[in-house]
Amino acid sequence: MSHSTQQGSPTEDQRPTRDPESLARDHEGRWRVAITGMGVKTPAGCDLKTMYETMLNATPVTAPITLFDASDLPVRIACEVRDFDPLAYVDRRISRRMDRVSQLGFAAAMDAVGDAGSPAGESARRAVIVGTGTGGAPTMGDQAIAFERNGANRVSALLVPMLMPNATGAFVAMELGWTGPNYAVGSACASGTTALGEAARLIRHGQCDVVLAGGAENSVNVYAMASFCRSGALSTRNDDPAGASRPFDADRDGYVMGEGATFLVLERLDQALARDARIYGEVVGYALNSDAHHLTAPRPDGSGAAACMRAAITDAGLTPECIGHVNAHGTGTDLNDAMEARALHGVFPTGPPPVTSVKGVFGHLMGAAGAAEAAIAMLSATNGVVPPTANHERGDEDFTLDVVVDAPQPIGPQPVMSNSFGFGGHNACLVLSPFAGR
Amino acid sequence: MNRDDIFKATVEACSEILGVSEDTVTHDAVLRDDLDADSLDLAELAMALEDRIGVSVPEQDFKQVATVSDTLDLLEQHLAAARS
Repeated sequence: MSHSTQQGSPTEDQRPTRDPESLARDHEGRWRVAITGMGVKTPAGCDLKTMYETMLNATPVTAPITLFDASDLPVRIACEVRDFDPLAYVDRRISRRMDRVSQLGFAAAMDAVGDAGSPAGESARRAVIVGTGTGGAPTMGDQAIAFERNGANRVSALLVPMLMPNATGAFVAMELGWTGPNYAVGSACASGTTALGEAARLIRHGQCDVVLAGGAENSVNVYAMASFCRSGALSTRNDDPAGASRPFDADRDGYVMGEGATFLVLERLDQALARDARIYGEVVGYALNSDAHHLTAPRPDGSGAAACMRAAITDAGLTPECIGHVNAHGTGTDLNDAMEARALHGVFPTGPPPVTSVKGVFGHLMGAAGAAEAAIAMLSATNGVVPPTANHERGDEDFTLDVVVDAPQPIGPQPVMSNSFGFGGHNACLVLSPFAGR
Repeated sequence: MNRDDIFKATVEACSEILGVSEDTVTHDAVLRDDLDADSLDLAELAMALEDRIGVSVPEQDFKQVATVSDTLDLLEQHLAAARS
């Protein structure tokens, strides 16, 4: 089918008549992919409603670090997940087998499944894909200290099971009894987006009926913070936490570290319709590529990111004019925001549509960022409003973008493109579309 | 440290690592069956008990224990050997 029939506003009798089989497949004959559940554990809220309202209000949640003693660090602010108790999801025995990344990820995944209801399909056709930048790396740091202090006999047997990036997926599968594909993807800050895209692929090509996919990161820890402080990537506005994360703003000075997790339930659209599921929207386009340029810096001309965006739009069977708004990577670093603006102008020759970066509110959730932002982008696309970008006060003279500020901008239900770009030059883009109806 | 002290330390370690209530950690309790311990738990338990009791026990010996009482015997035996 053509997605153009969904995005316009034809009257009922102008819509082409399609049989159920053609409605089930996209313009390339692949199974269409519905989003039927969402679960979040983010610094802006541990439930979907709270997180989304915080975004619409553009209330920054950056605050002094409480998870560890940051007094020795040049950056002492971050976006932490507050009011999260893993024991609400697992017992003490299991909780102590989990790095915080798995505690957050497991909880978000369970919320997403609860939100989705009862998807169809046998367990062998249900998959789990977890995107994470560093998995349980903080556990490795803690155990290295134990080794240094007390020797090899005091290294925990749990080190490797807690460290491995696939641990979150393993816990989820054990809990749900899902025996289909289960793996972790790592593309740094693009991991969450990559996980969702790969999940859509599994469904599109008929390999799975349901995929629980998303991202999780335990990044507000002393090791990651120390490293990013040394690399100069973080905002040093310790005295103005609320104003620290400034996407696309002329006075931006780096990103604010965040942590958290978000999982989405992706389901074959026809099966979701058959069980009368609530449908948030569809994953209609996905692409990923590599800058092949530098270990941490993006390719300055934005050509890699632009190629990725174009490929995602083409994958959706759309043209750039169909994209109602862009949920940008928009980290608030000098290099990313300039590069992304260039890339957007390359993709949208007549000028990019309205752009927002929710990182102004909850910072950079690293491997979880793409998943949390996809959830927000999906809700925004369906609701037809673009959330404002917090702290965007003064445009950069080097680029012009229609950055949404101050208040949500009504645009009507339209597809959205959600961008993520990671260290190593990993680019991943999703196109998410409102679902037009049954 | 006498057997009662070792038992108290064992109860605390089991409760912390296995997530069980302290009153379930009886002398007759079988670690794997009654307290639901698996191989990872037993490795963690061994390390925690060595730390709490201040004795070093070969990993192989810990793998032989079945009940809480066996654990106490093993720890007592190694504690006595260390003292002699």
